[in-house]
Amino acid sequence: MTDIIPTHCATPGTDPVAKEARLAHWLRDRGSVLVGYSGGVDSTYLACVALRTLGPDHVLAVIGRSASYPLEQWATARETGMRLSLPVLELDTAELDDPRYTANPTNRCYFCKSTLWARLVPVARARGLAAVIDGTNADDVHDHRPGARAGREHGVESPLADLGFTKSDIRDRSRALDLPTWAQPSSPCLASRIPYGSPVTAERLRRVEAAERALRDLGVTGDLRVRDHGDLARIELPAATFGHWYAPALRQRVAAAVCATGYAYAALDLTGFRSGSLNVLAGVHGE
Amino acid sequence: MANSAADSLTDALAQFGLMCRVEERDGLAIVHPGAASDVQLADTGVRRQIVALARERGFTHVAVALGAGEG
Repeated sequence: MTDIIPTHCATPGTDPVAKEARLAHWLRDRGSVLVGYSGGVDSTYLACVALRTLGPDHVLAVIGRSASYPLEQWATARETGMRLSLPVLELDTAELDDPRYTANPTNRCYFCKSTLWARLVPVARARGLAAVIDGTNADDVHDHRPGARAGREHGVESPLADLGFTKSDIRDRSRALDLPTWAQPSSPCLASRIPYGSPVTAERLRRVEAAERALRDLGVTGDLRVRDHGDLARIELPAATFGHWYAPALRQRVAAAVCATGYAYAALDLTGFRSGSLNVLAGVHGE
Repeated sequence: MANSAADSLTDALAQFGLMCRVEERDGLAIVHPGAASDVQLADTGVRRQIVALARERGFTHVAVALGAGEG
């Protein structure tokens, strides 16, 4: 299933500073917002601009915690929130209780986001916040994003996408605002490491997270994914680093570190990191 | 995908000068290189060629098995 995010308001090719001014105007029009906040590049930038524009009494950043949300990112989100003096609320979500989610269909994200927004929208209403917004950006339009439909169904708005912010724009402005996330690698949920059709379980999510943490501990930086193919961990690293990590001494350490987290086999992908790599395996395309 | 895809890739890689065994797992080609092939894999052009040969045979991903931890 393919979901295309509306781009009728997109203004590509304009200066990021000008886009930010339009974003501030957009936020002032709403008056108060609840931000779906993960601590990633996009939602951190959005929450920061909302805070600067509306002030702390009119912004609430909400973290949805679950087994598919990496602990490391949770810690980063909390730390960044404290640094920005951002009002943050944490809620537990329970997408793993939904068999439609755990069956891991190609629209798995729809069920996850439905669970998330069903928790967050009532919070906004109860606190009198005028809008619920997320960090979807204009580049996401080209990806397979079934979760976007869940957002629309719950009335969630995506100002970064609507105002034409690309990922590059967001990194650029995040750097200008001195946000620690400006160079942070993208970090989609842990379930994205499990091939579609293969069940999502808490145990597999923990194993993926542990394996990626073990590789970080070994010194892996930049984009990293451990794709969970049952007892095989397929490791995707930046293509330019293949030679470094495949050197005999290091490859043994890589395999040992990953297999210590519960995998029987480890393999290093020859192409290297690809966002949405498992979409290819399932024949899923954004457009 | 039949085992023949893995066998075909093994043969193609041998013709390319890369002695290895290929295992098929759910659309993935897992390459188990012989000792003499390790050095070749460090070359970007060689890896690109392996991936191209694998895709011609229907594989979406190609990965090289790592030593320690293998069962």
